[in-house]
Amino acid sequence: MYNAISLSLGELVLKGKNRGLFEQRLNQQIKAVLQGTGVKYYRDQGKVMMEVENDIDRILKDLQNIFGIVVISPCVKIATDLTTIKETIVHYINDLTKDQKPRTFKIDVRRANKSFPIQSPELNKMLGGVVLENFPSMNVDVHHPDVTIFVDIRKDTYIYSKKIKGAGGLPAGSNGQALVLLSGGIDSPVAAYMMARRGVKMSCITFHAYPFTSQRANDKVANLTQQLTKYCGDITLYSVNLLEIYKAIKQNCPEETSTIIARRMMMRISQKIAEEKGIDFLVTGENLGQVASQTTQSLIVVEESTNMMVLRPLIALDKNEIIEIAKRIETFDISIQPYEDCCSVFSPPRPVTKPKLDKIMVAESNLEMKDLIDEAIHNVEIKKMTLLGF
Amino acid sequence: MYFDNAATTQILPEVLDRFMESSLQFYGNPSALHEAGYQSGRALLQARKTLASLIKGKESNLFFTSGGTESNNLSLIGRLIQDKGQGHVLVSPLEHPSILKVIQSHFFNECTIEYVNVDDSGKIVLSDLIDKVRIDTVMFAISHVNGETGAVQPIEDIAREVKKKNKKTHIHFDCVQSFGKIPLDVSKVEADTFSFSAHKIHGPRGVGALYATNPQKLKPLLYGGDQEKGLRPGTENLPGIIAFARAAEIAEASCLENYDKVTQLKKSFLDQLLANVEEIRLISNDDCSPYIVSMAVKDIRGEVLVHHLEQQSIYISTGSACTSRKKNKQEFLKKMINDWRYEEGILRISFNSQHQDDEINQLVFCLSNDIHEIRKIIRGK
Repeated sequence: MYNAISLSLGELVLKGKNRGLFEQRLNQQIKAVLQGTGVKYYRDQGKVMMEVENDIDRILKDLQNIFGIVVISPCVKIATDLTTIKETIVHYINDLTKDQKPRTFKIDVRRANKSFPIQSPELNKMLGGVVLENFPSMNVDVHHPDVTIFVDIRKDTYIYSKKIKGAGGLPAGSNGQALVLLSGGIDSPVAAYMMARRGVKMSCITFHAYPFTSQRANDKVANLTQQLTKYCGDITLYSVNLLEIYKAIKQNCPEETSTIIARRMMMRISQKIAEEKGIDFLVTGENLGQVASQTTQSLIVVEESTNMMVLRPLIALDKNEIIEIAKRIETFDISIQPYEDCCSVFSPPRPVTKPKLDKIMVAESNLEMKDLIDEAIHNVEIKKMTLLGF
Repeated sequence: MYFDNAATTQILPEVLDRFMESSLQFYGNPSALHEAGYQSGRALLQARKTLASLIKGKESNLFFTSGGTESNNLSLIGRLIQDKGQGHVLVSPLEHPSILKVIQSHFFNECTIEYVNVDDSGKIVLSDLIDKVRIDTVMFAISHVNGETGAVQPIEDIAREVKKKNKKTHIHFDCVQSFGKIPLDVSKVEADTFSFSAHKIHGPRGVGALYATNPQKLKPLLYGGDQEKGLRPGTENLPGIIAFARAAEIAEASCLENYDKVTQLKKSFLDQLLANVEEIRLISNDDCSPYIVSMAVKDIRGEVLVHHLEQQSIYISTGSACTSRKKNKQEFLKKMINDWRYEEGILRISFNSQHQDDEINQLVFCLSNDIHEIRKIIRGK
């Protein structure tokens, strides 16, 4: 029965001077979802309206991934004409009662089109009367109705009752740029998702140590990045081989410090690439206390290696909360594929869990830091992932 | 250079030709009444006769399936259904997932599963097996040649002794790794079923067989037409079956000659490798099939060596302990090695009869170099 979708934009409409930019970002995302469907959409007094004939379930699902949209409603679009509105409401409730049995209802008229001659309160009563007449078993309940029929009167009229929760947040790319350190595990894609939800444009960087790690591990990170484009829009993925750095650490530093020094090197490389590409800050999936390398002391020592802002959106979440989000955004099943990543191949049997900054700095002084970083960046592989890559 | 023949093999050109020719020639459905169907039916019968005669069996007892996995499932589940889904089941802990996961599946919920002890090479301890056979033991399954270690099980002795203690026990031998490599005479083995697969002997994928001495004791897993006497309905994969028969003929024709050749290759490989590299432990021993060598390398993860060798176009495999979450098997392989510095470094190298001496030399050269290089990196200063 549905032939249209309406979108409410929430926070976005409050954004004063930036609103234009935000709307532009949102437009790009909606366009990508509708690519190839021929669906037309337009702005109409604070909402986005679209006419959809086919594929409505898929489009509804994909729209739920777009940040900046608060409510999505499948609607029946009709001409703004009293007789048509009355008839459609009867049809609508008829259809509705096929799979649910509402006993009480409420009519909620919104008259954005002030040229329509009947005012909202009067129309509410009139349409309520039509329902009571046609469905004698139903009663009006204005406080806790089983179903609320919204009648949105604009140039055309939209009738709907479902309000699907959108992803909320702000449109991707409306709030600065970040580089997220993506390991292939469960956490970092969730961190990327959460930052993107606040409008941050994401790029990703990943570290491997081929041939000590598998090509499949690289493919896995690429798949995760591809999945993230659903929420983040286009993403550039930087892939860095850390093998020479691992070798140098093994040769020159005490074994138990290798994990933390490798992480510091990752931060330095990330910062340098971010600076070169005009990216504002770094994001990691670090979480307090989850593994040995994520103690407060470790985080402090890792933090010291960069002077760029590092945000850790998962820092205080529990693992099960992170997994819940990972499942919802469909990165979980990719993350749990069992391929070696560089952290595990080179991790010492007993890594230091409470590193002392001065000791780590002494250990690091044996490394040809600048050469190692420059060489790693020189060999970076860059992949552009787009939403349309699916 | 491909040293992962226990996983699968490259199809022989001659076998592929046979596959393609028969696809064009025998397109009729063997069940059809017309001439084209009749010709296909004859070709199917011929392939069945060929395969049955290679294992000294009767063609009426050979059933074509989609491969080793299906054959194992058909034997175990097909028999269990007949036995009302209850009883005591014995199995080796080092089996292929198409045996282990089947007996851990819901079909076997009402059964008691017991594992039989194996020695350090994966060979069954026969006395332990016989001790464990009970009056209610409905089933025992094991691979003739173990796919991980190459251990060869004494199937004649196993079958005779188990049947002596309980003649009702269903005995299944998975002969996927041994077929075409070690002669098999099903008339001399008192087992109930045997599994075979084409792609391990340079045949096509997606075709295998189950030999059943008493097919009426099995229930089908699929229902449909009368193909394979209703035990395995579905239009026959005739080109695959014909190519399977051809691959089997080729393998059987030089089975003993190949065995001696590969025994020499294995010896040469191990002699050279162990002379060049220290701290390697062999899991396979001299009694194992020469086609499979399983070993553990100290301080290196198996996968790291696989990726180093692939850069030189040499393909080997890790032991399943490193790559998968097959819990039982992992524990058993680890127990066999019993040293944490070795247990991540399990490798499986599996030969075929076409390998040449210089390929073995090249493998040893690259493998030794890589082990030395990686150890230098991993061990640091």
